[in-house]
Amino acid sequence: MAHQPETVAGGTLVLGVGSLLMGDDAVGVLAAQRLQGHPDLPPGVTVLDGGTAGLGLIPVLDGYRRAVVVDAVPMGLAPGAIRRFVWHEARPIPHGGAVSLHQTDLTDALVLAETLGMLPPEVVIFGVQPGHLEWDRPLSPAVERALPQLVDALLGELRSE
Amino acid sequence: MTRKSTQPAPEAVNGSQVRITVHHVTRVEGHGNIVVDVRNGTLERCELEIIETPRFFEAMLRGRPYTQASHITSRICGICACGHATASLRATERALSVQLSDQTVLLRRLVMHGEMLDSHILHVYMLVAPDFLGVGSVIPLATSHPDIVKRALRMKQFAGELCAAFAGRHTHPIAMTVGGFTHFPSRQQVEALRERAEALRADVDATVELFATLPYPQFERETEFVALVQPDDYGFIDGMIGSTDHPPRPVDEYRQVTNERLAVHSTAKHTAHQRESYMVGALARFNLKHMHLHPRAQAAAAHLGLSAPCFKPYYNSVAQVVEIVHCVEDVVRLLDTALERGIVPEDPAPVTLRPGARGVGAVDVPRGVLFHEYQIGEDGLIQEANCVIPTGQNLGNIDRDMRALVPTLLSEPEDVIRHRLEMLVRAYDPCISCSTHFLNVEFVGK
Repeated sequence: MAHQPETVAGGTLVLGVGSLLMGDDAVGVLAAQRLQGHPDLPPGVTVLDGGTAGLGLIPVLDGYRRAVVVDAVPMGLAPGAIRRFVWHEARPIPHGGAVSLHQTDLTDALVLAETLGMLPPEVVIFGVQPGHLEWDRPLSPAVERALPQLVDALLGELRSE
Repeated sequence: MTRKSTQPAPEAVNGSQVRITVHHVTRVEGHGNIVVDVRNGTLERCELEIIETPRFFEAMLRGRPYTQASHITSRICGICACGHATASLRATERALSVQLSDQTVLLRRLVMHGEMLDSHILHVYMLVAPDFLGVGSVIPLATSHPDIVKRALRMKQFAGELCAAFAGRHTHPIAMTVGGFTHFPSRQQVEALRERAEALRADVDATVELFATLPYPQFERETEFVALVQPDDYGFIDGMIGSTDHPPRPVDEYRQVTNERLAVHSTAKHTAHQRESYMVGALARFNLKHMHLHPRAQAAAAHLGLSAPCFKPYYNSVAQVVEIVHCVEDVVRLLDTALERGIVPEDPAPVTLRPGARGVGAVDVPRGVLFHEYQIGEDGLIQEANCVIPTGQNLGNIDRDMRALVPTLLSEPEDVIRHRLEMLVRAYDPCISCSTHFLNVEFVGK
């Protein structure tokens, strides 16, 4: 995970998560990288590469008014399809954290953050349907093509209040 | 290879033979099964099966430049990444006659303290505490005891940031290199860390108070303890290999301590030194060098009811709490030293390549002593590598603890036996992914 800058209390956090080494799982991180320093990025927005930090994401989320999370999400759609949904509409299926903390994922982190009252009041998730999630593969062509659209959709989200 | 996980399935055969199968012991890192077989009241089999696939990191290193070894081996573990990187660097540096600056030694210690804190906080709060607080995992714990989970996350965050300040990032450190560092924090960063470390004392005290109230099982079995020892120091990097049964040996003689051998029921090798098995980790360190703990850590040990020699494996978690106290105090001290001397950017110390250079790196990582050994050619390529992981060294001892424990529990309901065995394995904080590299419990008769 990238080094955390000063939290902008009450601001917006864009959090791209995933592994750069796992095919289309990289899409969230790549989107965050494209947004960082983007000329159209509104002021008061912090963009972070959340990598695979799992529960380490909880303190990162704390203190923001709004979090926009970007990740590869298997949704049974065509590869590259982008879907926006708000956290409270989603049906989280936590891993449970019981098996191993090597395996905690974004959902566990969000559920735990919510339980602890550390989740921003507004959480929007941009899910991208992955084509493949294998080691050491670049983005699939469909997800590669979706990346500019994803960045545009995120900028649109960030401009809206 | 992972076996399909099944739910605990007790099967009573008759009064003296009970078959219980639990695959997948949770809240440990990696995949393993506990198998217990008691027939006609006799314990026939009792062991921790390690079924995870070996990962062949040593083979991956062969033919690679020595500069890559610490980055490759840090991937053995997402929790002990700094420990693997440090052991790797020490093996390379000792092979290539690298003389480290005092500053590098100081900064490496800070990184290891950060990792020790991060790993111990994770283990005692998120993996061990749920057993005592009547919940199945950290997620219900967040509902029943939110303040405890928030404290753990706060402490973990500090530990991670401490590692990141010096090693570039916590998981898979990037700024530690052969001979030194490639990144140095600013004075303001170090001052901020110093302030936060001091402020962490309130959380540390609350941690000691919490763990002092938990009812640890009192099972004990005498065994040999092995840890790195240093004169007048409770250090984690370098030193001699100390044992409660044998005078200290140089780290180069680690194979005479580990004596690795294959075990039929385990894809991780077992080890033995002066007895059939030995234990490494926080309890081993406490038993061998408690006199060098910070006075606040010694006071915490007394408050927690821990005194040396302690042969109670469940108290490994207690020893981890003591080490949390020690590390925070030592971090304050080390950061003071860093501020006093000033952190000066410097080039890594030079290497001397020569044919067939060989070196052993030893680091006492959270779960116990870790050895890396490399042979490096004159061309700088690694010719041979060997890594001996703490969990592997503990497996034989876990088997023997279970064999001693099970007969004392036979009058208990099977659920109690199962839970007690799972807790025992968890007390060792095993990282099975590293050592092979899960946990299921199987009882066959009682």
